[in-house]
Formats: sequence, C-alpha cells, structure tokens
Amino acid sequence: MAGPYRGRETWRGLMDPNANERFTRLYAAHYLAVLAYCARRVSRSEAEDITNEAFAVLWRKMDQFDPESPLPWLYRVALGLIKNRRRATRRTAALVSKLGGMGKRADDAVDVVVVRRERDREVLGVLGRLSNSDQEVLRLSIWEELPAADIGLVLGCSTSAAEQRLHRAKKRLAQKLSPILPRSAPSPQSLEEGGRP
Amino acid sequence: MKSSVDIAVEAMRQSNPVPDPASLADVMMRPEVFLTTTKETSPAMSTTQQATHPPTGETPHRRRNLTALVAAFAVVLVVGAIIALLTATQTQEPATPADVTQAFIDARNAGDGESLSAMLSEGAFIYGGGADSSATLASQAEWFGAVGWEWTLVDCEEGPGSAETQVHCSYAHDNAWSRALGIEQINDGGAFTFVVADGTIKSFVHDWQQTTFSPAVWAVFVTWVRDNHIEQLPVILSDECCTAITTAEANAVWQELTVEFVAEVEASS
Repeated sequence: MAGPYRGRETWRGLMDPNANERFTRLYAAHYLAVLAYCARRVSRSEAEDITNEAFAVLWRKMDQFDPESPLPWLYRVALGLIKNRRRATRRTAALVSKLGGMGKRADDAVDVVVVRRERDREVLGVLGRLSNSDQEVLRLSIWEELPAADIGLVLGCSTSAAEQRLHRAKKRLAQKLSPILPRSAPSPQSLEEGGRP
Repeated sequence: MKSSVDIAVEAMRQSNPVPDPASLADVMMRPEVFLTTTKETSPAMSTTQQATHPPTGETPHRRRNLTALVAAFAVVLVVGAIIALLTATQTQEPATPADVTQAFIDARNAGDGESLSAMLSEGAFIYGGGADSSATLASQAEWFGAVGWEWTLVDCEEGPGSAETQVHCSYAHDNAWSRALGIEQINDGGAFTFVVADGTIKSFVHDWQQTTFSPAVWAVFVTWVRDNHIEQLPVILSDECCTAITTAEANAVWQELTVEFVAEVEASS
C-alpha cells in the first residue's frame, strides 16, 4: 500500500529494525497496567479505547522513544488522552444543554468506576470532591504505587514538586475523610483484649 | 495509633476500583494489531469503532436481532439516566463555599470557560489578574487551558457570614512552560478572594503577584517566541511583552507555540 503513513512505517523499520520486537515487549509488560490506570479513572469501555490509543501513540513514537521509564511515559500519554476526552465531553454536554436537550454532567460520562463496597463509595465520593490535581497525585501514589520521581514524570514536574503536591493532597484527603472514618482502626489484638471499634 | 493521614491513605488504597490489573486480561489484544498499519485495522481505531464495523458475512436476521437488542439497551439506558437524575436532584446537598471555590479553580485549570461563567452570579464583580468581566474571565480560562496553567489552592480562610461568605485563598501555580523548564509550582504571594452566595460566586478578585514567575518563566517563553516565531508576537501579545491576547484564534496559536516550546526544551535537557 502506498501513502505517507505506510512510508513512515517503512522508514521506521529501516531506522530501527528492532522496533517491532521492542514494541511487543513493552506492550506485553505494560498493557494491563495502563488499562488498570485508565479503568481507575474512566469507564471500562473508555479505558480500553484510551489504552489502545496510548499504545498507538507509543508505536508511532517508537523511533524516538526512550525506554528507560516506559510506564510513567505511558501513564502521561493516557492522562493527556483522558483530559482531551473530558474536555470534548464537556463541550458536547454544553452544546446539548444549549440546544435544549437533557444536559449531562461531563464527568458522569467518564468517571464511572466499579465500586465494590459502601465505604469505598464514600471514599471515592470524597476523593472526587478534591481538585483534579490532588486526585491525580493521590491515585498515582496510592493506586498506581508510583514513587515521587515517577509521579513527577507523569505530571511533568520535579520530584520535590511531586512530593510537595502529594503531601498537601494527603492532608486535604484526610481532612475531608475525617468525618466518615474512625480515628483509628482497632487492631485484632486490641479487640481480643476487649477493645472496642 | 495511626495518624489521620495514614487512615485516609489506607481507606483510599482499599477503595481502589482495580486492585489487580491481571483481572482485566480478558480484553488484551494481540500486539500485532498495532504493528500492521492498514486502512482496515488502524492502530488508532478504538474498540468502540471496531464494534461499529462488524465483519461482513452477517445474516440480515442476525443484524435485525442485534438492532432490536441495541434499541432495547438504549431504552434501558435512557430510563436509568432519568431515574438517576431525579434521585441525584433529590438527595444533593448544598455546595459549601469551599466546594464552590474549588470547583471554580478546577474549571479554570481545565480551561473550561463555559463552566466557569456558569458558576458566576449575574453581574458578578470580577477584578484583577487580567480579567474585568465574566466574558474576559472565560476567555482567559481557555487561554490557561491552552498553555496548561494549573492553580493549586494552598490555604483558604473563610470569613464569617451566612448569606454571603468571603473566601480568601493563597495559591501556587505552574504551567506547561515552567514544568518543561523544571521549575516547581511557584507561590509569589498571590491570592484569590471570592464572595460566595447561594452556591454561586458574586465576586472574584485575583491579586496576581509575579515577581518570581515573570522573569523565570514568562520572559523565557516570550524571548523564545521572539527568537523563533517573531511573526506570531502581535497575534498573541497586545504590547509585545506583557499582555496576552486570549481570543479563540490567539489561544490556538498559544497552544501551538507551547507544544513546540515544551518539545524543544525537553529535547535539549
């Protein structure tokens, strides 16, 4: 097949004959992690779409890609795609609302996640009331379990800035969660000794 | 005894909607899909798009059944959405001043001028930071979105009052340029002062201090534009140095220049 896109693929193959192999390795190693990252932020079907788009971006950039820290790079791409979708959804919702249709909050379309317990629902509700930047830094640290240096790579800031953001976000999360969480979870031992929850 | 931060972190850890990524393995495609770029199977084609392009060879009967199923599903979705909407409106708690101000900053960070305007009460007083009306505030928000500006409320104090509440917040901020330059969020001593009443913002005053940000970030970017795209300066600045034009056309140029600037800085570092 002729055409610029095909030509680009051929060119990449000439420049980097191992691109296919490297991509396959990266895909096998990180696909599920990226999919989980997306599924923690958007609905399942959107998560699959965004993950595929992120790997399509990776494939297009294989010739300039530094594989030293691929996962934060992929998370960063996925985050950008999620933000783009949110923005597009918001514009569509605003347009529908203007046209007199039944407007739908933009985030409802993408922030549907499976909630397993009532407590989780409450915690996620509180999380959703924090700023977007607080939510993201908390998710990266607590759910993706990234160290501050990698969080910085995803968010495009320095390690110390990521640490500061995380510290502040944790404090705000604790403040907002304090009305619904017990001050201290009882240990099994304290219950055995007659302690009360 | 655990601190309240530890307890909150643990609660959030337990609420992880996908604690085990391996549980998602059923949707994983073969990587070869990406390696062969053809018109029929583009790597950028989403699973949704693929679902709407079924393979040929389906019988008309099967297609009719599928259509009926999709129609039934759509009806269930619409009814569900109406019920959810009614339930939500019945149980929604009134937004606190802190919620309102945070939502305002979130919309500003998202570059969502329309949502921002919707949060302002009619005839709201807008002053400072380059905006003097709800219209300029909205177009400025679009500009913030174009250059990846992010504002983080650091400390907020609420004044007394029941009908109206004044909320005074210090903030830190950064944007795509500063992040590319490796500069952390800057707190120049600037502040936002809101007056919130009935869940809307009656007044928004921005005291924008730029003693650190201006020389370290703004000047660097403007100098780069002057050196590389001098023809664009009158498109994005009204005075060749300091005042941004934030029309939709100018914002598109701001975004293009920002992308190029970030790529160049990151490539050189």
